[in-house]
Amino acid sequence: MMDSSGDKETTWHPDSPSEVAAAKAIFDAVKKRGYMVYSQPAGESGVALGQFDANVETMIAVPPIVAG
Amino acid sequence: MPAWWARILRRHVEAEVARVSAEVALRATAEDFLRPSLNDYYLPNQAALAKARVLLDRALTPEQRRDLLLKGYFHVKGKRYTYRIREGHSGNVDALDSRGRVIDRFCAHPLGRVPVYDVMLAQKLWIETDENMFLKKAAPYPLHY
Repeated sequence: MMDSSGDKETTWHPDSPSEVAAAKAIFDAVKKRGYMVYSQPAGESGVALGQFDANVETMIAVPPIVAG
Repeated sequence: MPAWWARILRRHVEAEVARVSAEVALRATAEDFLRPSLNDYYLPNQAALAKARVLLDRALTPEQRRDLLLKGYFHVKGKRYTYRIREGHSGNVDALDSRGRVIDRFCAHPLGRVPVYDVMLAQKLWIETDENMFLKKAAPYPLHY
C-alpha cells in the first residue's frame, strides 16, 4: 500500500487460511477507503482488482486519484 | 427451558461469539495496517524515495527502466494515446501523438503525500487499466510549463 514512507507491505501464503483472511481484511479496508488495488506482474501492464484473490502474487493499493 | 434446548442455545452463542471475535480481530489487523506508521514520520525522505523507486522499477519493462534512469521519464501505451510520464508530482504526464509530439499535458496524482516514484507508478497503473477514467479525472496542464 502506497504511503508517505514509500509503501507498507503485508504478505500471505495462499495455503494459510489465517494469513489469507488477514490479507483479505486489509484488501477490503483499503477498498472501503477508496483505494484502487492492482495486480502488477513484474515488467507487465497492471490489472485492476475488484475482489481479493489470494493467488495473485503482488497487489498494489493506490490512494484515490485527485486532479491538479 | 429444557436442558437440550439450553445446550443448543449455548452452542449457538459460543459459535457466534467465536465468529464475532474472529471478525473483530481481522478488522483490528486491517486498521492496524492502515494506521500511519512511525516510519512515516521518522524515515528520511531519501529512504521513502528509495523504497518507492524499487516498487516502480519492479513494475517497469527493461526499456522503461532504462528510459527512467537515463532520461527521467518512461512511456506508457494507452488505447488512445501514448503517454510520457516524467519525474514529477504534478503536470508530469504528456500525451503524445504518433510522431512523439506533446499534444496534451495532464495533472493527476494519488491523494496524500507519497514519494514521486509512487506517483509515477500510480499514473502508469491508471492509464493502463482505465485510460478513460484517467482522462476524465486528470486536470489539463499548460504545455509551456
